[in-house]
Amino acid sequence: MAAKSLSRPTLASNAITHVVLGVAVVLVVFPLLWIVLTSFKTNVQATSYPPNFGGFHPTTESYETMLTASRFRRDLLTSLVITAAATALAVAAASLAAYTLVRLPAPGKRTLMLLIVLVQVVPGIILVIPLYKIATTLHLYDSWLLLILVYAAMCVPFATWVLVAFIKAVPVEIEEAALIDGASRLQIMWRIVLPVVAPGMATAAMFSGIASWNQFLFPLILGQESAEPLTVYMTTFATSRGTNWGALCAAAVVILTPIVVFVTAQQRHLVRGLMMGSVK
Amino acid sequence: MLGVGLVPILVAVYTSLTSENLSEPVTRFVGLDNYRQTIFNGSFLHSLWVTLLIVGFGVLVQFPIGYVVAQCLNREPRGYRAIRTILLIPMLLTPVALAEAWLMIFNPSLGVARFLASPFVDNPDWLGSPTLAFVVLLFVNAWINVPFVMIMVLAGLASVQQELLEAAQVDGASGWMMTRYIVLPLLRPVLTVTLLVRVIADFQMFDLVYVLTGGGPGTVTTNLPYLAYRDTFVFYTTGAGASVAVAMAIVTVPLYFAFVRLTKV
Repeated sequence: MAAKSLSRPTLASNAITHVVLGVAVVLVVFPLLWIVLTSFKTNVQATSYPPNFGGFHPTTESYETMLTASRFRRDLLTSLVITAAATALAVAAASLAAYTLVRLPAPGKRTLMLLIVLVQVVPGIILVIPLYKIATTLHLYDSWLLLILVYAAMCVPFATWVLVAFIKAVPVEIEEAALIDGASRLQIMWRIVLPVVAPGMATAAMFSGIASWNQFLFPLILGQESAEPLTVYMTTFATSRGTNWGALCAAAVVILTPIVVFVTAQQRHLVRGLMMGSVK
Repeated sequence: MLGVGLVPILVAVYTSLTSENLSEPVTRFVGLDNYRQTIFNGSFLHSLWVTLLIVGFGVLVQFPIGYVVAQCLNREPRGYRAIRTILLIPMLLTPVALAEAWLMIFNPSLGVARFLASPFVDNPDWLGSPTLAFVVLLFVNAWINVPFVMIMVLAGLASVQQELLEAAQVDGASGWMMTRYIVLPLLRPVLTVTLLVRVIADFQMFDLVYVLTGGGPGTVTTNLPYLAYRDTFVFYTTGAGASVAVAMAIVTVPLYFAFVRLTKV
C-alpha cells in the first residue's frame, strides 16, 4: 500500500523487498521442513553427517513406533482433553467477566481490571512453586482437573481483554430495550449479547486453545504421569544412549501440525484478535 | 479465576520466608534470611544480569528485523497474504517442540548448523561455548518472536495515512526523513505496547532455556525463572526458590505499572 501509491518504487527497493522477504520465508520454512523430513528417516539416517537432504527412502517407522507407545497415546489424549476443557472454561469465565466489567456498575471494577493485568504480567514460575504446594495439599497433583484450572486461569486475562473490546461495541440501546421488555440480565447476555460477540469468543478461544496446547512449565511441575501433556513428552527423547531424533521429530510434527493448519485457516481472525488483545 | 492467580502469590511470599527444604522434615519460619542469602550470594545478581541481557538483546534484535520485514510486507508484493501467514506462524507454535528441533539443528556432531557453517568454521560447539550458547538462545528466541513485532508494526503501518507521506514527498523529504519524522512517531503507541509485551515475555523466558541450554554451560544462561526453578525443583530448596521468584516479582512491578499506564485499562 505504502510505496505503491507514492512515486514508482525504484527497481532497487523492489529487489530489496523481495530479498528480505525471501530470506525471511526460507528462515521460517527450512527448520519446519527439516522437522518433517527427519520424521520420515530412520534413526541411522537422521544421525548421519553430513545431513541427508533427500537421498533416502522415506519411512513411517518413527510414527508407527510412536503410535503404538502407550505413553504417547496417553499424553496425546491428555493434551487434547485439557486444552479443550481449559479453553471452554476460560472463554466462559472471560465472557462473564468481560460483560460485568463493561456493563454493570460493579464496585471496584477498575481494581479488578488491574488485578487481571497483574496475573498476566506475573511470571509463571512465581505461580508454579506455590501452586505445587497447594496442589499436593489438596491432592490435586498430577490431575487433569488441576491443569485445566491452571491453564484456564492463565488464559482468562487475554480472553477478557479481547471480549471487553467486542462487548463495548454492542449498542447499550438494544439491551435497554430488552430490559424494558422484562428480560433478566442473564437472558440479555445469553440471547442478545452472546450472538453479537460470538466472533470475539471465537477469537478468545483460538488464543486460549493455542496457549493451552503450548503450555510447558505448569505441566512440567504440576503433572507427572496421568497429567502429562505432549509438550512434556517432547523432552523425554534425550536418553543416556543418545537422542532418537527421528521419533522426536515425529512427535514434533504431531504437536505442531494442528497449529499450522489452524493458523493457515484462521489467519485473518488471528491477526485481528492479536490487535484487539494487545493494542485496543 | 483470580484466586488461581492471587492465592499462589501469597503462598509464595510466605514460603519465601521459611526454611522449607523438601529433603528436610522441619520447616522453620526464618524471616528474611532467604532473601539475605539469595540476593547477596551472587547467583541472584548473576541471573538478574543474564535476564537483563536476554531482554536487552532480545529487543535490539527483534525490533529492527521485525520493522524491516513489516515494511517490506507493507508494500504488498505478490503473494502478500501467503507470505504474511508463513511469517506469522513461528510465534504461535509450541516453543518446547521448536526448541527441541533447534537442538537437533545445532547439534555439534550431526546438526545442519554444523554443515552450513562448515565452510567458515570447523565444527563449532554451539551449546558448549558460553558465547555461542547465548547467541543460539537469542537466535531461537528471535526466530519465534520476530513475527509478533512484525505483525504489530504491520498493523500500525496500516493506519499511517498515505496523504501524509505523499505530501512529505512532494515537499522533497527523503525516505529516511519520512521514516524518522512521520512513520516512527505515528507508530509510537503500537511500538510501545509491543515493546512492553516483548520485555515482559523475555523476562519470563523459561521453555527455551530449559530445553536448549539447561541454564548452561555452567550458569551462563541461568536467567531468573530458571534459577527459581532450579533452586526449587532440582535442589529442593523451596524456600530459597520462592524467594528468588518473589524477588523477581518485585523487579517486575515497574513493568506492571508501565503496562497499566500504557494500555490505559
